[in-house]
Amino acid sequence: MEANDPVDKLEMWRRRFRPLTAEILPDPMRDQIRARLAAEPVPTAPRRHHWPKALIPWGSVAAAVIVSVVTLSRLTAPGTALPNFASKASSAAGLAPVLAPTQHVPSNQRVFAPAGPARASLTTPALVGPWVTLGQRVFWLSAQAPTHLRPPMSALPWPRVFRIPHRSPRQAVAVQIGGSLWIARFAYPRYFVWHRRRYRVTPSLRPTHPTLSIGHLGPYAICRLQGVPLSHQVALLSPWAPPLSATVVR
Amino acid sequence: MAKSPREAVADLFEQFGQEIFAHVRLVVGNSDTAQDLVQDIFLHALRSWDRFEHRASPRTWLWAITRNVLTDHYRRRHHDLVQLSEVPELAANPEDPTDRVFLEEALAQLPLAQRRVFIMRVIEDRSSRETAQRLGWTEVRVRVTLHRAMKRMEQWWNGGERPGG
Repeated sequence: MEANDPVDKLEMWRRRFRPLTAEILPDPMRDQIRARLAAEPVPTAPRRHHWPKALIPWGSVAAAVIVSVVTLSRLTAPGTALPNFASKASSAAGLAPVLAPTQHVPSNQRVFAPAGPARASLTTPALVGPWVTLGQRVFWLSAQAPTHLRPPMSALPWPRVFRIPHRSPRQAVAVQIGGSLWIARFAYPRYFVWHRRRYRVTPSLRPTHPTLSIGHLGPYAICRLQGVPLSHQVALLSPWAPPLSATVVR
Repeated sequence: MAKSPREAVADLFEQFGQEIFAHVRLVVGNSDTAQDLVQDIFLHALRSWDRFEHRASPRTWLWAITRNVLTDHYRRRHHDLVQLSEVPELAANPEDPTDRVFLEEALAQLPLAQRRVFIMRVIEDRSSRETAQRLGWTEVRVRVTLHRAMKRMEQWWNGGERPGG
């Protein structure tokens, strides 16, 4: 019999959902989150400072405004080129930008390629390829990148990558890392979403529908893998030209 | 001596990580996604620790972050084409109403706000007041949303939208 009183109804639903008890956060997950918290850089921005109104140095503020306006007017005068900060940054690192930061790329993502070969074979143990910045963080994909950007190579398991036949001309790829299979489909520009399927991985995958989409940046697809150890968080895939390349980096 | 932000957030994780994980796990219906989201919640806490002004308790603050992270997750989720029931070994058994996957599917058909209220009031057995505090709502809104959630759940349970029903 169905309950009519709101309190009885609540009790009825509590009884029905009793088997759905709270799941315990497993220790490996707990350790992984602890490690992630320990590795995350803590923002060092100073606390916002509120000046008492009477103490605001209005003279300095006015002087700064005047200097800025004068500088800006000189820079924007006809015949004056504005400094190109993006190319300065990349040339300082010995790299040439593949894309202007605003071209087909979300504002917080930039792609750079090294001067050397841009792809690595899956069987090649060297990491050769572009490196990528996402927001404040740099993800390296290249053995040619500056030393401090290199990943701890011994810690990188080499992923296995499979093509997945798909009806659409856009290709799907799957990456196996450890016991998990990640499937991606190039469908929505600028978006990348991975889904981890829990079935056994075999080289001859034939799912009827590749599951999810990722986006591409220039000639590459960049994929963030969530829920995996820190050292495996970004994968860069290039399924357009053989050999299919994939690199897993921080 | 004051704790560093990292130590403070690590302490918060030890204190409230389980509680938040249990809730997020029920909301999203998937351990891996829940783990990712819990990680995001505490990373967000670490990054914004400087802006936490201690007007509310750290627990309330964490629940506010949880709310935002879950909302963002569901905003992005329209790209996610895979349903839990599509993964063969995870398919629910519609004959068994005590089956965990069946109950999770029942939860998944509720809209996010109704699901969160239902989880807090029914499964986690929290009071209206506590639920309201965690969601940043009024108690009246909690009661109204719970009423709607139970009504919707009843329709689903009685076969209206049940798989195979």
